[in-house]
This record gives sequence, C-alpha cells and structure tokens, in this order.
Amino acid sequence: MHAFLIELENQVGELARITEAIAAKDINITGFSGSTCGDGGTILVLTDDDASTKAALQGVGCSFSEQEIVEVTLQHVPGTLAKAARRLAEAGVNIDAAVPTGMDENGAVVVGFVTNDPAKTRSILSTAGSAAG
Amino acid sequence: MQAFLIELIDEVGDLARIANVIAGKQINITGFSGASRGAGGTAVVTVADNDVTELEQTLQGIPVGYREYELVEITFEDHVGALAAKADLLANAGVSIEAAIPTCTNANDIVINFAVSDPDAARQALQ
Repeated sequence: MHAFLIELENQVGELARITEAIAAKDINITGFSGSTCGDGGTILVLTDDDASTKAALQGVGCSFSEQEIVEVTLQHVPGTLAKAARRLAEAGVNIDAAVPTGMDENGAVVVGFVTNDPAKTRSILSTAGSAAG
Repeated sequence: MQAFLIELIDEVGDLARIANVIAGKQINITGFSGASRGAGGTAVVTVADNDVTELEQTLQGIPVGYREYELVEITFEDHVGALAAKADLLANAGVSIEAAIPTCTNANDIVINFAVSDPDAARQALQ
C-alpha cells in the first residue's frame, strides 16, 4: 500500500483544492490525516487507485511524494507508541508520517508508518507483541 | 476533545523522545498522526479528557513547541468526493484546517477529528 504525502500552503481552501482534484478523477480517499507546520502543511492521503491519484496530483501542480506505508498493530495502553518510535530510532529509521488506519478485533490500534526504510520498519515492528514490548 | 499539535525536528528519534516523555507520565495516547515537512514536522496527539492537564504540564516541562486546539468531529460517508465536499464547506466559511486525525472507520462511515481556526464556525458550516 502506498501513501501520498502532499505539501500544502497553510491557507483556507487548500485541502478543498486538492481533494476536489482527486474526487474529479472518481478516486475514493480511503485514509487521511494532516497537520500544519509553519506557513505550510502536509497531508497524508490513501486512496483506492494509486496510479490515478498520482496523475491527479501531477495535474493540480502540487508537490508530493508517493511512499510505501507499513501498518503496525499497537496495543491500546500507555507507552506502545513510544516503544515503537524508540525501536525505529535505534535502528536509524526516520519517520516521515503516521496515520491510524483502523483497529483490530482485540481493540488494538493499527498505525501506518511512512519511513525512509519500509523494509526495516516492517522487520522491526513486525508483531504487535514486539511493538507493545 | 482537545488535540495537541507538537512541533518536531525531522530527524531520527524525535518522535521517540516526545512519546517516551508522555509514556513516562503514564498518559495514554488515544489518537495520533503526524507528518514531516522540510526540516520539521508536526505530531498530532489526543488523550482522554482527564489526561489533558497532565499532558499540558508534561509538554510545558520539556523543550518542545506545541499548540492546543479544540477538535470538531466530522463523519464522512465512504464515497468519492466526501472529503472534498466537507473541505469546501469549511473553506467557504473561512475556516482554516490546522490538522486532521482519523478516529474510527466502520462499514459505511469514516470519522475524522479536525483542529480548525474557528470550531464554532466549522460546526455551523457543516450543519
């Protein structure tokens, strides 16, 4: 699965501009998060059609990257995110973005991480047990 | 519900540094997202209402910048254009979106919490 990290200006209507361009191509957004940072911001978008999303974003003239997203299950107790982040840091993995993508049948949270090394991320955080410590 | 937008440096270990401090206070993070941009980035964190004061005190005790926002919950049907339609309503009302964090997804709907410049105007625009 791939995530699109899209850079926006921090101004009214920017999210509407990008999401309208995606919707106009009949692409369904299946996951979304975002945050501002100074005079800009970054949104993370998951869709049901990566190729068409890429074309839509190229057509709207925004800066974006398409990156593999690694889903990890974290138990819903204090410290699990901290342990996952610490394990990635100790392995030299940089986190570019993260988004919750769901919950499993036991109430644990599924988080998608976008990092500079998806294979290593998957290896380090391959089980809920390892992430929860 | 409140969201904390925490400013990070885009380098290995910065999320771990903050998350470990929060965990050290036995505060459970109930919602999380984040993204980098340039040399920095922002983590969006939510906690239970009874942990908000503790998290405020925790963040004030470490060298990190943060902003606190009231969240507006928006439910989307899972179809093409749903997010664009809501974003358009907010834009037309002059509401700036500072952050968004998904909270749950069921068979038909997606729920996303938005941190915005004017929560009351956002709720009115979305009615």
